[in-house]
Parts: sequence; C-alpha cells; structure tokens
Amino acid sequence: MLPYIIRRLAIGAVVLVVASFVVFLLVSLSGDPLAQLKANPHIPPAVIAQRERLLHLNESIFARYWIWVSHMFRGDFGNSIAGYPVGPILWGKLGVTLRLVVGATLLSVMFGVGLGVISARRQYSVVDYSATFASFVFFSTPVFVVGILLKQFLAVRVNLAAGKTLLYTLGQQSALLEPSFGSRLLDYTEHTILPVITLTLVTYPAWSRYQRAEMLDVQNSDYIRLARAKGLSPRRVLVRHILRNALIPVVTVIGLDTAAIFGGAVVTESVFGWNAMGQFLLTGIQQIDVNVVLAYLMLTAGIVILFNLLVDIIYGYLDPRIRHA
Amino acid sequence: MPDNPGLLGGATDPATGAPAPSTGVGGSTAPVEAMPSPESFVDTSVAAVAARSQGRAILRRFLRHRLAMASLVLFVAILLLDEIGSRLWPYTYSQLTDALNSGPTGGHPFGTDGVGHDMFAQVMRASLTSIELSLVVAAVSMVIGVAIGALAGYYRSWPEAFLMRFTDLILTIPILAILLVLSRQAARHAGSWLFIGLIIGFVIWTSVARLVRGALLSLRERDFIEAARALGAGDGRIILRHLLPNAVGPIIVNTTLSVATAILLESTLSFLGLGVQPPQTSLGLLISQNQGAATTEWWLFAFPAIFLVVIVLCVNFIGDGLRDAFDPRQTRVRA
Amino acid sequence: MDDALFSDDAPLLEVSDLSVTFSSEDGLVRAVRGVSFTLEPGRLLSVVGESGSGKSVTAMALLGLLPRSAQVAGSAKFRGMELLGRPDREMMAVRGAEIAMIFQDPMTSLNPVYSVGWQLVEAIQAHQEIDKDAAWDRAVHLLDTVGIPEARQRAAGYPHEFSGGMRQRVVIAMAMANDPDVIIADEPTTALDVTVQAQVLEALRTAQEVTHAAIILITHDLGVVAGLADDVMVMYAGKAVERGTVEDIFYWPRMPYTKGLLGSLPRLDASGDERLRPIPGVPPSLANMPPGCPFMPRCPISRPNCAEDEPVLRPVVGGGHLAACHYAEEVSPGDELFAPISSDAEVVE
Repeated sequence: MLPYIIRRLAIGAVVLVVASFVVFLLVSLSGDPLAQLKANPHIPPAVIAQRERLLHLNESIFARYWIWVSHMFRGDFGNSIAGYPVGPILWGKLGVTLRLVVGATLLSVMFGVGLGVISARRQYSVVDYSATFASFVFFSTPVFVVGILLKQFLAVRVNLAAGKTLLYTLGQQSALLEPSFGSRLLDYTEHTILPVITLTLVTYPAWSRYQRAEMLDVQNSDYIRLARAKGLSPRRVLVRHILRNALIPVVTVIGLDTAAIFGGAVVTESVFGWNAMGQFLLTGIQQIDVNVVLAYLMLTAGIVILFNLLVDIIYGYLDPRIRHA
Repeated sequence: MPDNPGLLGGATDPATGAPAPSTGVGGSTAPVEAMPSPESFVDTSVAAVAARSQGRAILRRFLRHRLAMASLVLFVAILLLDEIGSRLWPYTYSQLTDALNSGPTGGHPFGTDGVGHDMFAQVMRASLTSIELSLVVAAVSMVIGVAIGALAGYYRSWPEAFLMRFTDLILTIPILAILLVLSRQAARHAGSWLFIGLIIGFVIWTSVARLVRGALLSLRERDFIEAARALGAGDGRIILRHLLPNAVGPIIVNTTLSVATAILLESTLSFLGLGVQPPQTSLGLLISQNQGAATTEWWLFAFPAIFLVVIVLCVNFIGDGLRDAFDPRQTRVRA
Repeated sequence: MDDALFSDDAPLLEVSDLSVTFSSEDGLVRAVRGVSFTLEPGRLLSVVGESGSGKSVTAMALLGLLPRSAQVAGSAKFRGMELLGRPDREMMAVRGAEIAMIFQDPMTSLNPVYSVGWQLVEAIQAHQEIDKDAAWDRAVHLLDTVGIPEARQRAAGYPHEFSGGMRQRVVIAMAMANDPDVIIADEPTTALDVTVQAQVLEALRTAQEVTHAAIILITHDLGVVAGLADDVMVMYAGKAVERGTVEDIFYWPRMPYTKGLLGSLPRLDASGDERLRPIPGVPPSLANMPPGCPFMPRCPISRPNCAEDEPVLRPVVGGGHLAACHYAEEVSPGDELFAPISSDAEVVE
C-alpha cells in the first residue's frame, strides 16, 4: 500500500511541476503586468523601475520561475503584483471555497446516486423518464444560467414568502457578522445554500446517469441471478449485492470530477459575488499576476491529487480484485 | 467497469459499439453446432458487405430514435435560421435601432436592449458563433484525439506516455482554469472566436484519444489483425483500414458530445469575460451582459439562455441517439 | 416452508404445458412452447438442445427468475404446489432450499466483492437458523465435499483467486447448502476447459449423493449426458421433441433431430472411416414461427404435410419413449440420415 501511495504522489508531483512551468510561461508571456502603470504619465520612471526590480521583471523568465520555485520550497506562494503575500490570503479564501465545493460534492453524491438507483429500479417508468429528462436538461445548462435563475427567481420568491431574507444571493457572508458561533453558522448557511444547489444541479446529472447504467449492468449480471436463486430477499439482493457492486465504479467517477467541480465553483462564485478562490483566480489572470494564478492552480491541483488518492484507496478497499500491492 | 481506476487510469469505456469481427474459421467446440455460417470465413468481401449492412442497421436504429431525430431536425432548423435568417432580417446584430428597451413586438420579436440592439438579430448571430466555434472544437479535438489515440493504442511507448500525462494534467487542474489562462491571450487577438475554438479543441481532445486508444488496445491482438499483418499490410494500413473503422462508433458519439461541451465551455469563458469579446458576440456574452435584467427586461436574458440550452440539449440528445444506434444493448433476452 | 402446501403423494416436480413468451423488436418471441415433463426423486433428467431451444428459459421459469416482461403460462408443481405465478416473497423460500440452481458461467456467477465463504454462509443463513460460526464451519465442510483442497483457508479467498473449475465447485457447494430436493444445473460445464469438465461433473454427482436431490442437467453436449443421465428430453425450437430413458435416446432415437445430434457427436467406438455427420442449416427464428414442424427445413425425411401440421409428442413403440415426428416409426438406428463431413482432400479438389 505505502509504495503505491508514494508512487502516486510522485507522479502527482511531476504533473504539478510540469503544469506550474507551463502556466508560468503562459501567464508571464500574456502581457506586461505593469502596462497600466507605464501608461500613466504621472508616475515617474524611477518608481516603475523599482517595481520591475521588486517583481524581478528585469530578469530572464527562467530565473523568475526559479524564484517562484524557491518560494514554493519555503512554503509560501510569493507576493502578488500589488506587493502583499499570496499565501495567507489564499488560505482564507480556500476555507470559503471549500464550503461550496464540499457541500456541492456531498449533495451531488446523494442526488446522483439516489436518483440513479431509483431510475434503474423503475426502468422505463415515469419516474425514470422524468429523472432522465431532468438530468439531460441540467447537463445541458451552463452553471451561470442555473445560478442566475435560482438567484433571480427562487431566492426572490422564497424570501418574499418568508417575509425576510432566508437565501442570500450576494457574497459569502454578511458584512457585519455577529460573533456567536451559532449565528455565524446560520449566516454562512444562508449564503451558501443557493450556490451549493447551483453547483449540485450541474454536477449530479452525469453521476446519476452513470449510477443508473451501472445499476442496470449489475442487475442483469449472473451473480445477481445466482443471489436471487439462493433465495435471498429482494431487499438483501438490492442492498448487499446490487448496490454494493454498483457503487464501486461511481466512486472513481466522483474522484475524476473533482477538478471539474473546482472549475464550476469559479463560475458559481462569480455569479453569487463571492470573494473566494474563483475571484482570486480571475483577478490574477486579468492582472497577469503569475504568483496568484499559480497559487490557485497548485492549491486546487494538490487537493485534487490528494482526494483522488483517497478515492483510489477506498476503491481498493471496496473491490478485492484491486488491492494495491 | 474500469479495471484501472483513478486519476491516472481514467474511466473510459473503450470500444463500446465497436462491431466485433467474426472469430475466424472453424474451431467450433460445440458438437451440436450447425454448419459454419458464411460469416465465419475470413473474407474481406463478405466483411465489407457485413460492414455495409451494419452501417444501414445503425442508420435505421438512429432514424427510429424519435428524440434524437427531433433534436437533429431542431438543431438543423436553428442552424438554418441563424445562417439564412440573419441575412434576410432587416437588422444586423450590431445595428442600433430606434427602439430602446422594447419588449417583444412584431418588429422586434425578441425585443431590444437599452441601446437599441435588436435581440433577434443578436441571438441569431450569437448562436451562429457558438455553433461554428463548437464545430471547430469538434474538428480539432477529433483530429488530435484520433491521431494521438491511435498512435498510443498501436505503438504504446511515448505517444501513450504523452497521452496519459496530458490526461493527468487535464484531470488535475480544472479545465476551466487552463482555458482561462489560455484565453487571456485571446484578449490580445481582438477576441477572435476562432482562437477560443482552437484552444478549447487543444484542451479537450483527451477523451476521444483515450477512447481510441482503448479500442485499439483491445483490437490489435485480435486474429484478423494478425491475418492482415501476415498478408503484408503495413502499420499505417492496419491502423487506417482495419483498426480505426472498428472504433468509428465511439469516435462519432464522442465528437458529437464534444460539440455540447464546447458550447458550454465557450459560453462560460465568455460569461467570465475571457471568451468571445465585443464587438463579436456569443450566447454566453449576451447572457453575461444581460444577467441583471432577468426579472425586469426578461427578454434580454431569456432568449439567449433558451437558445443556448436548447442547442446544447439537442446536441446531447443526438449524441445519445447515436450511442444507442451504435451500441444497441438495451434489449437483452436470455434464451 | 408451510408443509400444508405440499402433498406427499404428488410427484416431486410436474411441469405441464409450460410456455414462455417475450416481446421483442421483431415481435413476440415464443421461447418455450408447451413443455411437459415429470421429475422423479433422485433421478437425473437431462435436457438437451441447441442454444436458443428454450432449455435455460424453462429452468429460469421454474424458479421465477425470468424478467417481468416474460409471459409465463402453464403449470409447474413442486410436490403439488404451483410454482408459476407465485409471488417473489413466497418463491424465496423455495429457491435454494427446495430447488437450487447452478449457472453456466462460473467466472461471472459469484459476486466478485465477497469471499466465497461469505457467499456460502449467506446461502446457508438464508434458509437455516444457524449462527455465523456454525454456518462458516458448514461452508468449509461443503467446500471440502466438492473437492476444494485446504477448504478452511480457501473459504476466505475471493472468487478471482479461484480457477473456473474451482468456482463452479463453489457454486455446486452453494446449491447443496440447504439439502434441496431438486438441483437444476444449467450447462454447468460448457464454459469450462475439457479437462476440468469431468471433475466438475464428478462434484455434481457427489452433490447428488449427499443431498439425494433429483437433478435437471441442461446441456447441449450429449457426451455429458451419456454417462450421467437417467432420462433425456430433447428440445428444439421451444418444444420437447423427444423424451425417454437414456438408453431409448442413445440406441433408438426416433426423431430425426435427435439422430442428427448423435451423428454430430465424435465417438470413440466408431470404426476408422466413420465421419461426423452434422445437421445442415440453422434453427428457425423463434419470432414469427411458421406453422408446421420447426425442424422440417433441415429434415432429410420430411414430406409435404410436415409444413402444415406440427407433430405432437406421442408415444412410439410403447413404454415411456415419446417423439414428435409424423414419421418416427421410419427412423431406425441403422440408417444414416445426414451426409458426413467431406474430408479435406475433397475440399481441395
């Protein structure tokens, strides 16, 4: 097991190094981060020269990459163009983004697996057809359209009916937070519900289709026929044999989609005006702030790699045919 | 079931719908077996006839798929409307009419925006851009995907290593983030939609490549390939004439679905301001520009959004119908 | 099981006029078209036929394992209790306990994620009030009985760690677990290596000795039948076309189809120049069957009236020997009805 984990982490590290270099080149070459500064005639050339020195813009691109790498080894992500350290800010934003990503992943698992199972058990029923149609529609709708619709229609209706704001549509939390833990939790929840639903609605369809197909495959398999021929109850056949086996491949698919969920979170956060990792990335790209963009990529990629490793370990545990030597 | 799970293997379903070639001459173990049927002889003419009739069977199954057929008709209708309708329509997408903030009327069926753009002209133009862009993506990703997938599946070695590492990259970093970084360059290219199409194509080819690789891996050791090799066929001929035709189903299905993915990605990039740039327009851009109007001037948001969802939905249904046509496993009767 | 449902003097298993119909894209598929037979305690009945002749569907229908879309008609009584149309809840008590089943492909018959011991214990505990440890001991004992070496260690192993033959033994052990009265074995050796087939059949014979169950052995391999069966039923296109004792069928086949089957079987006792005589043509499609004898297009002795009247299964030469052929009396053991396979030299010309 341990050699396997080490090997996987090593491959992941190589991917990270290559990715960081490529992205470094792409972002650095996409423009001059000080262009605006230089365009301003009121700024003396000495200031610009100083900024260029601070940002190492006068050095070669490889030297600049090496400076970034040395920052990484020291455990920080360097400074942004504006001069503040990237690391501490990013960690704070990570917590906010994880609220959305973890919430949407959990809800999508429940929705995807649940609907997939129901669809497969009632194949070709009204329920199956409706679930299939709904997943096709959500699968075909961009995240931001779902978000805007929920924001403009659902939230307004619910808040109107409740007579107060239950679902917030802007920001990840209220500006003025009460200090008590309970009220903060409530405030977070009220801000997080709509974004989580948004991200869930575009994430669950693929998983539920996959779960359904897997269920049908397992249901028609020989070992399920034998399990029924043994005289087991339909419930036991469903839970201990069909579900147990049909869940295995879906676990892998969930792992493979982690990066996509982070991508969806960027858009969702943008729709709901969250000040979190998505906005961090977007401003980084717009301002040609290499350290900011790379910090985002390294952090999400690191999380994706670790999560997938976890998924693989779970997979090996679920399926005795794949015990990692 | 994927036997090589996880990030570094990928859950492809290789060769679904790849027609299985006959097993070869003789060798029937069952004594009750009837006389060998004609298909069991390795004979290219017979195989060609079988392939042709199989093609017809696939076409027939697709034509019978009502939802997919309806989607195809609707998709073509939208395309024709965009292509021809926009030429006949009195307003162009960039023209400023005198009607400001008008709701849907006879003259402006989709209404107008605050500066007088005719939304019908805009939506037609935007959906045409989105569709054309997605076709560029499909073409680019299919060509790259089939080429690298075929090399990886047939020769293994470095093309396979490249494919696998690139796949790792795609699965590790959000595709959207990669595209955002790449499309930053597009801002300098005056928002050329073609550039956006190319970069999306250069990023999403891996799924086709992995499918082709999977199909070739399972096919290349088969008897009929041995036979072709024994007859002196070169590698290129084996790949093009014997292996790839067997993977046509998955390739077509996947390419179709990549059209849908491309439209979604493009609209998302445009929504975030890093895709198609004004003065060009796309559905994502229109929605982005009008998102605040969803409840007040609903037509500004509703029509682009409906067109976007309907187009993607059509493509997905067509892809689904093609998948069923190539891989008709639904009716299983054990005898 | 409620004993009041059973009657002691009723036959063990009595199937009459069983028919199964599926609907498919090509119309109704009549997979089984009126099959009747009786199974006596402790006997081994072999059901023989080509794939698609309705053998497996018949077996699945008895245990109610067909998909819901299948329309099943007729009657199948186990000790006087009707099995067909019985709700799933009640069939649970019959499956595995009274009638056990062994399937064709041992590679896919066992759930890959549980150990074989676990799966045996599950089968035992489905019908017996017995604690886990005792059930595990019984599972090990069963594995030992069917010839799995070092059964105690192997019980903890997973199916993928067993060979095909070993897996089929596990399935046989599972069938024995609750001392059933009937074991249905559906092509138990077809998917296996020839060298392993005999061992698995031996395990099946052991299962019969231990449980005293009657066995229905479904196969397309007459070679398997010869050494094991008491009675034989030959099926063709969803119908029984000949039925009798194993001697009747092997020495005095009365249906041209049976004769064809025997002719396509390699024989060790054949003299040097005797060649295999396969049946030309293919079985008819079960959708939209034409009237008349389904074997007629392939039959060497057919006459015009065979195209109109489908022959019924009727006694020939007295006793229990039945055949479905208008001209059964004309089929005699000596004649060869089918042409032999031509030798290689003749093919080359």
